[in-house]
Amino acid sequence: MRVYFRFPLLFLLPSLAGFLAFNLGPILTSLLLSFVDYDGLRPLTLRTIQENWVGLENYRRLLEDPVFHRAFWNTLFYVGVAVPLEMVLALLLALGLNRPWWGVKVLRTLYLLPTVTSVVAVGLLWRWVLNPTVGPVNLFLRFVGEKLAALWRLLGAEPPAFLAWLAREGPGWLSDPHWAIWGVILASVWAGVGLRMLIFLAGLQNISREYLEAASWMGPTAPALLLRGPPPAFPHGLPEHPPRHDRGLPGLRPGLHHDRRGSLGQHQRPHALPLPEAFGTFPFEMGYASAIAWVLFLILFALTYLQWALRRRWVLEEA
Amino acid sequence: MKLLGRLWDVLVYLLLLLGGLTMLVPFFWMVSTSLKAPGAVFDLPVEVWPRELHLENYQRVLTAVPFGRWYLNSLLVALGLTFLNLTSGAMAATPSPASASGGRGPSSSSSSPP
Repeated sequence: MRVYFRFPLLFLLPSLAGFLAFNLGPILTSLLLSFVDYDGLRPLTLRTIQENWVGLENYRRLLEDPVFHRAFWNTLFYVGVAVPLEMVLALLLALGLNRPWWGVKVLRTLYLLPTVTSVVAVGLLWRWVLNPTVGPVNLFLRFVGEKLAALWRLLGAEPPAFLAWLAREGPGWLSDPHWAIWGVILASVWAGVGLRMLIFLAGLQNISREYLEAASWMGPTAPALLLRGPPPAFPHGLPEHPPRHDRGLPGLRPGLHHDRRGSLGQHQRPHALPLPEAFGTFPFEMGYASAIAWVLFLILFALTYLQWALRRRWVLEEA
Repeated sequence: MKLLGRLWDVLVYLLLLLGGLTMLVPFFWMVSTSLKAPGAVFDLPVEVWPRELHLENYQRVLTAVPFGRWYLNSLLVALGLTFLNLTSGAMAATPSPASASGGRGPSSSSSSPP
């Protein structure tokens, strides 16, 4: 019996060692640092911590920081739009691509391509794609705007201001405060929809034949089936896939901040909590950054807990 | 009724195809931009596909920086990470008598120590 109990630990050792060294240590350090005014330059000793202990000052500052508030609501808005949009699109795609059509595997690959592209590359790429003057998105929108305006004139009416604007310039995407968040949403939906589609697809293909047969006897078609409460296979894919949005698209960030610092400014920050700023300013505000990271962690933890609680109620676990 | 279903299928297929091609646009744009002359990126009207193909961008990236070495580095990191992740992950997930008694995972029939 004893030897049995030693074996699991031995097998766990590699992961456990990695976790302790590279995860748990830094996590606890950052918790400690969130109570300290630390610049990241002095050697991190007990003395430094003692001398610069500020208690909850970092958290108080965070509550009053307008940048943090702005970033918080922007992030919430972003998640509220991007995640449902991506989910619905992915589900529709999965339903469409779950048929034995000619070339359907190639189509699936097309949708999955962005997923296997480096996230930084995706961000940098979309800075070009969303460029207001020479990017393809606005080229297309201007083209559509021109054609529609021409159609309007053909009918003998003055095209509305919206069409004129679309034909002339179109949305300013990453440079215009009002459009910036939509640019980020567009890019991240493009980057993320493929993976979710794949997960839905796996769920759909996991539905056993009996269900489908029973359904075909009862009559409802696929859409009706979807509306009738949780299909047996979906939630398997759904809750086990936490959004990867907490990371955002790092490549877009430099685009937003370096090029457009003036016009976009602190208050239209479209996305993500001001973590990199706290790290990036000199002298480094590691204590404040740690406090932000912990608040972010607590929010994510609460959301994850909620997700699991709901999951217990919604998911039909297969025996 | 059957015809309607058929039409619907065709419509769905075309939509999926259109969507798939749209997904490709950013990649296409990347390639097309990479073939433009250094200053021509901001030229208006925009050329969707450059009339003259400029391969010197590629020549530059291959000679100006040790690109091969960097690629090799990435490859080594990727291979090493995958190998270590798989090994440690598989080891941690190995069913053991201890976990089988408490958890609801797979029974220890396959690979438990004697």
